[in-house]
Amino acid sequence: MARRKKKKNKFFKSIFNLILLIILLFVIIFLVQKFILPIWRGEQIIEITPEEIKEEPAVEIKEAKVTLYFSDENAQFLVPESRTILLTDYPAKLAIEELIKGPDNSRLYPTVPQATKVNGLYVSDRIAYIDLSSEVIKNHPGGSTGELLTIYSIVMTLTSFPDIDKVQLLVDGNSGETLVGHVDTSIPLERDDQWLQR
Amino acid sequence: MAVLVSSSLAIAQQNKISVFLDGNPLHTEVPPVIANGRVYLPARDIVEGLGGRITWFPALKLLSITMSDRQVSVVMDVPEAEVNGKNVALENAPGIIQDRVMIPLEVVSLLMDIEADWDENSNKLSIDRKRPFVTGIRDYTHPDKTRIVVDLSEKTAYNVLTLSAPERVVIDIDASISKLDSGQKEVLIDDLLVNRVRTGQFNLDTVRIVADLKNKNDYDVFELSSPQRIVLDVYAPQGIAQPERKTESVALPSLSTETIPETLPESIASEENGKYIIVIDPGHGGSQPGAIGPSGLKEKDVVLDIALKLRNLLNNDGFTVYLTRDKDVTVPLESRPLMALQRKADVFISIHINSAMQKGSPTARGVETYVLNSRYIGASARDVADRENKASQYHHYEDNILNQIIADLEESASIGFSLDLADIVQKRLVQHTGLENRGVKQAPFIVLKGVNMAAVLVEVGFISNPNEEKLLKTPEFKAKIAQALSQGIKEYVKEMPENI
Repeated sequence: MARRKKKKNKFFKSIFNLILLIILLFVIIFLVQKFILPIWRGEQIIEITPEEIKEEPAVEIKEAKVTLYFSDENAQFLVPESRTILLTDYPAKLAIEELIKGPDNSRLYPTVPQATKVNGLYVSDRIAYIDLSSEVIKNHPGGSTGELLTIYSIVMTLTSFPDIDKVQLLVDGNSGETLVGHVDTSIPLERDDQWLQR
Repeated sequence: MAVLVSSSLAIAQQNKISVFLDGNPLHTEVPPVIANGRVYLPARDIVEGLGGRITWFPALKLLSITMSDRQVSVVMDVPEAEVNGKNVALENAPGIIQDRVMIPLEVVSLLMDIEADWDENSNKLSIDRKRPFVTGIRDYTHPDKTRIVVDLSEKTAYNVLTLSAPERVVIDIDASISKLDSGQKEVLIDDLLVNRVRTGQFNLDTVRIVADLKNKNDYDVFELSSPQRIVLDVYAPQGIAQPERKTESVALPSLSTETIPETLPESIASEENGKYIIVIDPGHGGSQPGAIGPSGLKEKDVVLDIALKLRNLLNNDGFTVYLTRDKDVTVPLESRPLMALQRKADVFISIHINSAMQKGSPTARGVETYVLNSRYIGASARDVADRENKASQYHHYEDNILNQIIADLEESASIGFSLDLADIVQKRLVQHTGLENRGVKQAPFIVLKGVNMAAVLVEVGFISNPNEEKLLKTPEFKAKIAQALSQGIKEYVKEMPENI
């Protein structure tokens, strides 16, 4: 009898041990997943306390004066035109959007096909990468003069910003060989005062 | 020039150092300096000047250089370089001097096989590609012949051709003339058989030696070794003996006209013109119509008509003429200047019709002529060299870097010729067409890039202007344009500097 009881006792003890082992295993898995794995993976454990999440103060919209360049009557020169714009975006991008809209002065001519959109503009290493939509090619009338004035009105407008020296033209994200068959647009272009009337 | 002592390298007070690549000056933004008794070169300038690419990792102080088939990495202040994955010990470590990453000359020698020479007196560093050199030109007047000897540093390939009116023997040698004394580049012989010998770097790999003969006589060109040399013998006609004379003596008084029958070269204009090669490039074509006029006239058709008329006019005057297209087909832009290079053209003229974005009131009018904007020389030459290497049916280049440098230099020289051509062509266009003179301008046009000859692009009237579109439809007006272009080219060629 006593022998039997001992046997039963032993049985319960082993069940208890097993349960303990399983619980221990779960605890270890939890600890490894929560703390050790992230550290091992190089992640940081950041506790966010509510007071750290602050709301950004509302951006005050300012105005800025930009210089745009449009074609003269005989398509010989680029003529600067000042315009005041609301700074709702990066100013150089807004300047090109204004350039596409065309001149206020009725004696001047637009230089970029009007359906063209600015997909994006970023500046790196003093080079502005301006990405235009494909209308700049599709709606372009062609001709060396037409192409040069499109490109140099953009180059002159962008290089009027102090942080831009050169302009790399992109169309739908790609730097093509040329817009309409003359000017090499595969490399960044510099400002060229040849297009200003002396 | 005083140079400040830097954090990583001690440098000496010194005069400005000039760098020459294969005999031509190389521009660097900052001058090279001498540190630890070694010449250090500004890494970016020298590598980009050689046509390589640089990546600089400031945090690691690691400089990675890619040049044709070689990849070299160096770490500042570490006297070791990794060349295509293998470590090479350096005598001197690269370092930062005055905020500039500077590399010792030995790193440059890991990028390409060079021979460097440092002249302490003139502070001149000469870097030459290892290749055969023409080291001297000698001449001897014998009774029966005139012998011209071209001394070479090693055995190399050569090619001989004869030109007439005036009589010339041309020897093209696969070599460089950068080691030839400049006084020997033109040797006056003036005996009974040979007038003079001129030597020049004809193109990237070739030295051209031109012997101007007095008359058409038999000659022979052969090779001799130890020392390596190429010999040109020009033989006197039967029964004629000329006074003997050795090299460098004073030119003999010409005895000649009675003893050797004077056969003056028949200098008919057409024969003279025959040696000039003109490549005409009618713009656009095929799937690319170019600009289109208000009544539907297409630029590609007008320029083809003009180009065909111009070809006829130039052919009639004896010129050798090639067209980049002679029918309505699509021709890739970059292959147009390549054709001119391949044909070894003296003149490249691209013909276009203009257009401006002026809906409603198209007032733009007139003619203008473009040359390549000189700011884009370097980049474009490398560009074209890259394209050329891709399209290797045109050329096989052993050494891209040096060729690119030479191409840069040739291209910059060609801007001068191009401006001369542009001035005269623009003048004649205005005269013949009566259209408004918009002048000669510069632009980074693809078709004008990477060429080594006089190259212009003409815009003969605005198709966007209804009045000029009307004119451009008439055969008479197109003939006038062709006339003007032909006259401009002829006048330019007459004034052209002799290309030896």
